Amino acid sequence: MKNAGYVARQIARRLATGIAMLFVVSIIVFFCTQALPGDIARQVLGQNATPEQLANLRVQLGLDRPILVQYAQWLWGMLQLDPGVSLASRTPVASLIASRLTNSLTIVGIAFVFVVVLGYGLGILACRKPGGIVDTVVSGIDHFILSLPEFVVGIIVITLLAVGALRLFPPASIIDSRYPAWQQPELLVLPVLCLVLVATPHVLESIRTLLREELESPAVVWARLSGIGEGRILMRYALPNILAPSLQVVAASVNFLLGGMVAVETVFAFPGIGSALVSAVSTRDIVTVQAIAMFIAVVMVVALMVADIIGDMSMARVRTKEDGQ
Amino acid sequence: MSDRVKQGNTSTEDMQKNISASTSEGTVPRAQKGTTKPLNISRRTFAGLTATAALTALSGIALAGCQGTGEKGGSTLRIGVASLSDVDALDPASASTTGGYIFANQVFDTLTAYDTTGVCAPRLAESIVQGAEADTWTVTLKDAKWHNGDLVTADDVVYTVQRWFDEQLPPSESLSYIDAAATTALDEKTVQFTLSQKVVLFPEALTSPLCGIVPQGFDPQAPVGSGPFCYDMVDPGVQMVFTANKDYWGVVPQAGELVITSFTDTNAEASALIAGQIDVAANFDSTLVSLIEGAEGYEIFDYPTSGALTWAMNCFKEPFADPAVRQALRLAVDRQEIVDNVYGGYATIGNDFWSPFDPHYTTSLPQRAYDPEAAKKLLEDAGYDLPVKVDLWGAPNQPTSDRQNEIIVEQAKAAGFEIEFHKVDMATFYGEAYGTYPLSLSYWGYLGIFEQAAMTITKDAPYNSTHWSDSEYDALYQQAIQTAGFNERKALVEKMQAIEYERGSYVVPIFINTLVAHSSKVGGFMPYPNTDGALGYNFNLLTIS
Repeated sequence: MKNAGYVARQIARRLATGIAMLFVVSIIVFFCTQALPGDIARQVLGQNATPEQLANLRVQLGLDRPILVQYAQWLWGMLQLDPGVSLASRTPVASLIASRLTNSLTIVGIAFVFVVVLGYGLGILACRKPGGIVDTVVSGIDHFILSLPEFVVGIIVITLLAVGALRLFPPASIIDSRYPAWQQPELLVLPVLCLVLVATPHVLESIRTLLREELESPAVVWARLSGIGEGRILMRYALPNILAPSLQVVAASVNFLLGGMVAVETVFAFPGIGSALVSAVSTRDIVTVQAIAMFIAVVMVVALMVADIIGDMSMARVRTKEDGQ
Repeated sequence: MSDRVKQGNTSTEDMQKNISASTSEGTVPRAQKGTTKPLNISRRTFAGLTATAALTALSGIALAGCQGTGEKGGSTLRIGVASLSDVDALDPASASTTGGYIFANQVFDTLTAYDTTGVCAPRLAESIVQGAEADTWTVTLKDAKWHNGDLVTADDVVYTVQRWFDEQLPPSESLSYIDAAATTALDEKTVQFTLSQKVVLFPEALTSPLCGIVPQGFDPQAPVGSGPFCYDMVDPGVQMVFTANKDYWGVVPQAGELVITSFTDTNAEASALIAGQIDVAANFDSTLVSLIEGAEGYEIFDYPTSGALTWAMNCFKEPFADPAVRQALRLAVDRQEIVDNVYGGYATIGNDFWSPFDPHYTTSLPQRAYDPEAAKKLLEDAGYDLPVKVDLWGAPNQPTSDRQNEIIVEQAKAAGFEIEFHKVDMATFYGEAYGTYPLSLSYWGYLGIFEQAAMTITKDAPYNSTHWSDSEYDALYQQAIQTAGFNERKALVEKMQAIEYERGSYVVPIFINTLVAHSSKVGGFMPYPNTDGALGYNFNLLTIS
């Protein structure tokens, strides 16, 4: 009971922190996008627009209202899950980015599964023999990729697998907009591969570090001295103990995937919310920019919250054990 | 988006008087008028669908002349462009972007268009004839059909024109001299335009893609036109899909389907071409030509145009208020080096005035050469301490813009200029500060001499971002646009361009070639030197083997 109360308090605290964080993010997103030089009216009407036409359009789009009123109305809309109407196409942002969102979630979702499997799998393999060939190779590749910006990873992948000697996959992800992305799997391979390459090293590194610490713990040393085999030690002792902290790492990997998504979608001309964000910035369609930025922020904050709550619950378990002793 | 403004242009004497269909096709073979209908939906059935075009499009039922999306047999032509945008309009009268122009030119017809020699010719018009004076014009229409099978009538043209003015669409600004209320249908095929003033170059003014003719009751949400392709689907900023209009009055597209895909990165576009994901890369970057030349089965098609990236020198800002400094900067530019190093040879040198495809263009003035010593002397004689510091602002309004700006910084050093280049993005460049930069690189062209003057040079020109004003030039301009005889007018233009050459405010260093990279399987490419975009966006001409 005592621990249930602790967990509930912790969750409430995490939720409050998350909401406060999103509120701060909303202020940053809204006012930074407002501060961008240049405006949508010029982009929509082109250079042959007269000052009157520009002024009329700004009124139509509600850009002449006081900034705080605009912010309040925007925030209220966001709370009701209505991000507003795109300044560029004048259609609801929600319907505008729906198919883009599906496309992005498809590649991020597939990549996430690979990141988890590879992160754990390679992490465990590398830890079976610290300093061995597998460990050296894995950590070498790991550090090489970590040192590269996402778009460079994209260009390397295109050069190696699409336009160089090996032309295994198409270099551009020209998704036919009339069909969902998952029906065009050959176009997803390279963007997913890039996301996996970008996000896996972070997970792998953490798993390796956690496991290595665990394998050097007194309990494992004792087990080893008792003659228990390495495989059994790994499965029975080490892995269960790193589960909670490693899940935090997995949750955090969502952030790396979302960050990588923007660059990867641009490199592959992939029509997702990352490339939509880039083009909305260039046309100063700030309503769309704000909607996508807030969506990404919400996903990131929720992922972090989940990670923290998992951590809290494992702490609670530890406390229970300690209390029981 | 660029600061080019599509409007009319100029042409020879007889063209203004009477443009008839005999001159219309240029070197483009005119196809047999649609004799086959792949999908016959009778007018009654069609009306029975009730159907607004929107419903028709949504339900996936093909319009009369349009090849159905589900139909097999027709090939797909895939074209990459840099780039589509969320603001691309489906209403031709509101087009202001590359995507908007592409859309307008596939789905709609203008009454007139520039042909493969850069001369104005009828398009949807069979003929366009001046009345007793240049303030009335009679347009006779070709036998053309809307995508829903209805005939294109004079009433549709009148509706289109009145719509511009009723809804205050951009053509009502650029063609403000049209008296919309007095523009009437004389019969089913004949429209009489009444203008509030004499406009000898009226046919040229109707070539803008913004002047696409729309049917009565036009719905921009489900656009129906008379052009070579029917609207199928647009994913804003990503993709446009069209189906062939098999009943098109002109060159019927050979491909059953046209897919336009957007690339923000020209490298990605080139890779997609070589990998066979697209058939044509329109508006190709000259630095990537070697990539295509090294790939078997791919070719480059290019031709010179009147498009130009020009440096605008602001006469309201020091040091360009002084004509000596303006002349010095013109001498500080090595045009041939720009052609060779920035454009890989895919450009021609300019002489500081516009519109090389205009028949009035002056060729008698000596070509200005790179002469840093003479430039330095001009500056010193005018009392300047060297180096003269200049702030240059530029945005990637063309793939070559940044490189062209970077090269002038180097070239002008030898002439005593110290140029600081401020690189900003497009929205910032064309934002509030536009028109206040001391020196900036703008994209203009595809206009006749008089349109260019009216847009950017005369005192009241709306885009005179250099704030240059010369009463002698303005008087010559006014006189020229009212002069009926071609030779007399050309003599006046020579004086106008001599003034620009001697004390103007633009450096017009080069004219850019349009460069298209394509698979060898695609043919039918034609030059359109006075029209923006790869082959003037006349994608219906392309064939696939």
